[in-house]
Amino acid sequence: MRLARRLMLVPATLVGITLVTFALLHALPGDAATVQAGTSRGASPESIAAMRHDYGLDRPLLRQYGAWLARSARFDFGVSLVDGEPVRAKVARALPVSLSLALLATLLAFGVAIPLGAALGYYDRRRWARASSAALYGGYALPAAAVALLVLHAGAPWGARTLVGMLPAAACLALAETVKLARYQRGALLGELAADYVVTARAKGHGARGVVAHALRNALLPTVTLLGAELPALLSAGVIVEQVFGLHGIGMMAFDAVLTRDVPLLLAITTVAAVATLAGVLLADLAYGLVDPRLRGRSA
Amino acid sequence: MAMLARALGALLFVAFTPACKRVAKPVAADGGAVVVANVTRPDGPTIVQCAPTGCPGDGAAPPRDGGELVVHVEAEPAILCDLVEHDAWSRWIAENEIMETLLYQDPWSGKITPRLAATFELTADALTLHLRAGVKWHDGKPLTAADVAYTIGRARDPAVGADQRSDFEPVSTVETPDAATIVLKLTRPAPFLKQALAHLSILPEHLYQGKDVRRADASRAPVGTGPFKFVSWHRGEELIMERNADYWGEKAHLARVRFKFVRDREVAWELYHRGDLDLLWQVPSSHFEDARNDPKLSGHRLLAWTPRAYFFVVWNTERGRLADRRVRRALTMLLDRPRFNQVAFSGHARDITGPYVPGTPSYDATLPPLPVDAAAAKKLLDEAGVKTMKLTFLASAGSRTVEQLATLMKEDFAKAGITVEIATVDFAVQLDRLRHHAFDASALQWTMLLEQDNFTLFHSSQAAGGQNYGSWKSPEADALLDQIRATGDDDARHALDRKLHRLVYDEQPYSFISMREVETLMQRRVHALVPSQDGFSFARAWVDPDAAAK
Repeated sequence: MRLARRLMLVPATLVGITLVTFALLHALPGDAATVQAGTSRGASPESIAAMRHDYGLDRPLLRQYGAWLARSARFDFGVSLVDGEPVRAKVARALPVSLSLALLATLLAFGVAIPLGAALGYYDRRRWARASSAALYGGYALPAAAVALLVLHAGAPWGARTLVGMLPAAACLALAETVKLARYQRGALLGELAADYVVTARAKGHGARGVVAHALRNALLPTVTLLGAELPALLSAGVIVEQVFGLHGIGMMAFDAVLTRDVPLLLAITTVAAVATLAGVLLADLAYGLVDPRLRGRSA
Repeated sequence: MAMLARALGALLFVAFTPACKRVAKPVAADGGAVVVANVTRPDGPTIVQCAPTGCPGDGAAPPRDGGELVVHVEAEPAILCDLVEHDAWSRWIAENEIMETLLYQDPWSGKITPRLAATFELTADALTLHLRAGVKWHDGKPLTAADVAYTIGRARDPAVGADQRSDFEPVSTVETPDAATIVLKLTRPAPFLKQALAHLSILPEHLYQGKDVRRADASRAPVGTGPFKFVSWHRGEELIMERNADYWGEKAHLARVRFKFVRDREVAWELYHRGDLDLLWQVPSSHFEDARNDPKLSGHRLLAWTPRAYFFVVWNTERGRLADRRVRRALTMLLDRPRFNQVAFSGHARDITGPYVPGTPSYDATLPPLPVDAAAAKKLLDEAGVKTMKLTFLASAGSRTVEQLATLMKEDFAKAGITVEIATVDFAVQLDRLRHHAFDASALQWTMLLEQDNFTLFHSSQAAGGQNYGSWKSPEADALLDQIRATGDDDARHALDRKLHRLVYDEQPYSFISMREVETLMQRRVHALVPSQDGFSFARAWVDPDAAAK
């Protein structure tokens, strides 16, 4: 039921997101024609006008968007305004790279953050745990570019497309997220440990194991909620990591598309990112059910 | 072998040291042999200081055929078609290597020689070119005059907006009396036409006919007549070209050239050290010292050369006080250019005072850079009645150089009571504002040709929609620019160029800052590879297949 309702919302969400992207791109000064004319000696008002006409940029905005929507409903995302290559081919090439990178990073981040956060929460009174919590802030503050360059310098592979080859890049991408999630997890567990039911459990003579098992399950909920948001965020956050490790993914492509005002490419990427976000939310919903039986079959 | 090379290098150093001192003064572009200092040291690479007349090859052992050269490319071109892609790397990859031009211009001396055109005659009313016989496109079809007529037609089409368009303005018609002859009829002298033909890659009509040059497949997978054939292009990763075994001229030695797209210079530096790149086109300025003194780079070659490009600040002369030449001169004198060169380029930069290539006859070498003199600048500002002034500097986001310039400018100008606000925008916005004259000051870099036509930069007619972003309108400059375009005689035209240089120097529509020096690093196994503004000598380069990359 919930799934069906969620799926029904997908088209409306996609239209909304792409419409906003489209409007924002057009609100910016300069378009693909002015960027391509650049500072060329031969560029003239008529050459820019001719380009605009070729790219359909001289038509009314709503008609441009309508035409894009009609085409993309048939999975035809048009051609890039920069090099004439079909957008679908571009995205199809970059998406697997970014998706693998983002999935790896998500696995790493959650895989490390949940036990780490739980341990820090449980042993909160110990000195080492307090010190580690503080150190995590330091990790969060490290600039991603510097960390990535250091990892590359240490001998990490460049331009590797295999999962193993992407691990160092994924680790760099996951670093900040791991810290954030671990701190989140620690806080959540601390909150649960102070709850009445835990006090009761302790009073009833439950050992540390049993107490943590109960508390952690509840403390996982907020972290899992983040899963929905993390995956798409990592998908687009990869720009620096992609650049340093020579992985040409969606992040880099989106960045370039904004700079060159490549409307069809950026709209396609936005659509992909929106689908990924919706998929992430769905995934989080399903994970809720796993973590908390009370939520199974109910709307989150 | 390495010992021998080192000894030879040391000998060269001794032999050329006095000569090197001589080239401190600019020399005529067509004059003299290549002068160079080769310094080989055990604790660093062989340093080759290129002269204004060019960079020397290493002239070592006889060339060997085969092998692959891996080249670092910083900016990946969008497409490979020099009509509409203005990026230098687009030219460096395609022009002269995959595609070819009718004529060839030596990148240093400017001398023009035949290439696809075996002969050419320029008269007062026509340029006649005869194509070389037996030249074939990489797909096997013959090159004909129709291809040339088609390409020139595209270059002249205002809708295409080709960089070379204005050079073809004196051409009234393009005729092809037979399959090997092209006649360009002229309405007036066309002093820049030969040079334009040396920078216009001929396109295969059969692959472009009826297609938009930007959208055609052939602009992404070019088919040319050159010494290399296009093989593949994986966007964001690499582009490969291979030796054309059927080339009409002297065949290339390299079996393959692999261009690797690495945007970040620090990353490229790392990859070069791993041996993943044979050629690092530009050492990051943060590593200038390391590059010269790293013992691991012993036997590598470091070529220091100056591309034909200058960095400048353009003043919007429509904006209040900036209309006054005294104010513009004062601003140039306030701007501490040597300090900027030190901060931004670690001092690896050359002075420039006007819009021509230093060392060419168009450049007036008698003009010294305006002094950095705050007191004199204040005096000029007083004369102009300027007490305080507020300026917005339009900076392009992502350019470290511009960011540094803006910061230093803010400091320097504050000394004279001028407040600078920095507006950082992306390139598209910057272009839009420049075209609409919606700025006070901005910084850009222009690349020059050896025979530079500055009409589009400084003619008053180019303020509306052209490149005269500062809207500088000088009747004197207009007259000179018109005259330059109509003067066929080289000496007479160069004299006019120098006059324009002096006028621009006096009026300061731009503050000329400097020309940046580039340090190109290459592995030990690479030979006969030299850089220039028009590209690298890939067709003559070779690699030692026995030597490991590292």
